[in-house]
Amino acid sequence: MANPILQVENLQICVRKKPGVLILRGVSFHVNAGETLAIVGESGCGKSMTSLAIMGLLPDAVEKLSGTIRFKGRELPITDNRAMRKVRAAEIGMVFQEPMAALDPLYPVGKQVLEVIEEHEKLPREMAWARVIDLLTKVDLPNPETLAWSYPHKLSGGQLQRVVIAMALACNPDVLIADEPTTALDVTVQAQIMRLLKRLQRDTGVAIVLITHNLGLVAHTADRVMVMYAGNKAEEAPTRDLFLNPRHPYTRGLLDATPNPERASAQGGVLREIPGTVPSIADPMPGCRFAPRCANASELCRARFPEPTFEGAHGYACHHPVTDARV
Amino acid sequence: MTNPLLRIDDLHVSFRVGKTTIHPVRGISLHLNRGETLALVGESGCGKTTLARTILGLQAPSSGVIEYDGNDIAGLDRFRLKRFRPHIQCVFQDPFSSLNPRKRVEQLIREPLDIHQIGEKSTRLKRAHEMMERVGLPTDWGRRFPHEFSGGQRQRIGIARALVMKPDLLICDEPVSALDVSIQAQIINLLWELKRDMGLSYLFISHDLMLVETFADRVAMMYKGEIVETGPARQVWSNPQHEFTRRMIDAIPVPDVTRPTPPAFRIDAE
Repeated sequence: MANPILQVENLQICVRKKPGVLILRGVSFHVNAGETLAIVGESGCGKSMTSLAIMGLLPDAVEKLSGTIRFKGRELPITDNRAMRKVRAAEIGMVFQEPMAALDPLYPVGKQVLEVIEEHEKLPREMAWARVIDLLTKVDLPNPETLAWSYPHKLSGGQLQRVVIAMALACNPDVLIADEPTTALDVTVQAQIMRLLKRLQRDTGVAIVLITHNLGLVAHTADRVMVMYAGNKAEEAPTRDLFLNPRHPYTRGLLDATPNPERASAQGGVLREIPGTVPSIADPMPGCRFAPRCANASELCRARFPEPTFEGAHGYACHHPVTDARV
Repeated sequence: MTNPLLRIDDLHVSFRVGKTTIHPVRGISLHLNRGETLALVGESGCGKTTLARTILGLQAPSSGVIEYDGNDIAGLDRFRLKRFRPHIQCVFQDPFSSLNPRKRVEQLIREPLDIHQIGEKSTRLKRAHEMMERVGLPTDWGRRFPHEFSGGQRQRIGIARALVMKPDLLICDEPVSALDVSIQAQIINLLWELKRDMGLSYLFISHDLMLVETFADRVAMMYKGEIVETGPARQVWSNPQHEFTRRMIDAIPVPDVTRPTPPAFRIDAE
């Protein structure tokens, strides 16, 4: 196995003071140095909560029930905000979905990048500013010296996301968590931002955790994929393996429901749908949480949660895995 | 060929914002045949929503023709516009902000019938319930409020509310872009069935060319207020003619690992 830089073990997060209402139901995974791990799932599956937990940014309404998060072997003090301030940006950077919301409208963007550097490193102002300009250049922003003095509202969505990426990488973190970094952007800009992230990864060796619901992005940018459903890890596999041989019926359903002009998915309707909806987090169902929507589900599925099965690097949690490959 | 259901000719829309005038629709001509799904695809800010609002009579055009079934609808006065409205209905993007949170679902679906005084009072509720059933909502949920429904279910409410008027043309403005993939497929399939069963025509506005390729008959590509390319969906996808369409297709990551990574994503050439 490669070298895991980030390890999450049996992470359980519940609504504060309600240990029965679980948002994450015991999630374990790792991120290797320099790789891109995609975390995929639909709203409410727990993918954003996982990233907030790693950053120590859990909202007040929830709390960690159990589990550990290890960065380079040592446990992250995710409930200790002061200690986490040293970790954020310096060791783990984060890019959020809405770049406009991640920046302060009252300060020039360069100042905001500067603030990150000064929080973590004692540098003379001129050297820190030179680093800001260098970062803005690295993320391909035009005229960085002038642009650094622009306020966020003057910049386009794509430019703002580049600034946020510059902030996230300002202190050379080992891991970058990108939570839906391109969801608010047009497809051509999305491609530019993803290419920028991949290039920065190649040049700096930063590991990227890409949180997304866009399977197309995953297919072309991730090394490995973890699929989440209703607070559980449903499946994890190297990207190619996951797309060609999904074992969890939810993964298969998600792939088949995704519009894809290159395959003839039309039959009856236009797209193959997954019937039903995601269960409420307050629903204490004992078995697999996908069972009510699953064509393969049996009594066993409804009674007992499936333990994860591993075939090499490919793991899934299902009593009746899909066996036929996708054509 | 028979007359198109909707014909737009050299339509311009502009409005003043402070001291400047912006011009989001710049001479658009297009037609939509009866029973057809025409997808209007473009990036944010290209003017596609303004075009939809103009067709719906929510925004006045500065010049040009909008013909519905052979009749000019661009310059209708308030009275005539109200009488015309049942013919074209709209499903909006955000199922959270487009439903009044203080009204019960059956009231929401009935409301258009009340406004236009269609049918007897007693039968309106019955029609609302029929519509709920038609879009896959249990009728005994009619007394509930919108917040008790998920995003996909709310979009079903929006569709029921539009279709209760028995329109010929439904304008769908990004109806699934706020929804998850599995729910998106449910709504697209529902729209497809409704079109087949009720003989509807769709103007389907989207930024997602991959989605409309599987769903639309024809695609019109919109760029900076103009239509730059139209054609059968399959043809636009496989043989794009305009530079903008090509650039967009090159940037779309197809969810298929056996396909080469699109050029816009590759860093090996740098």
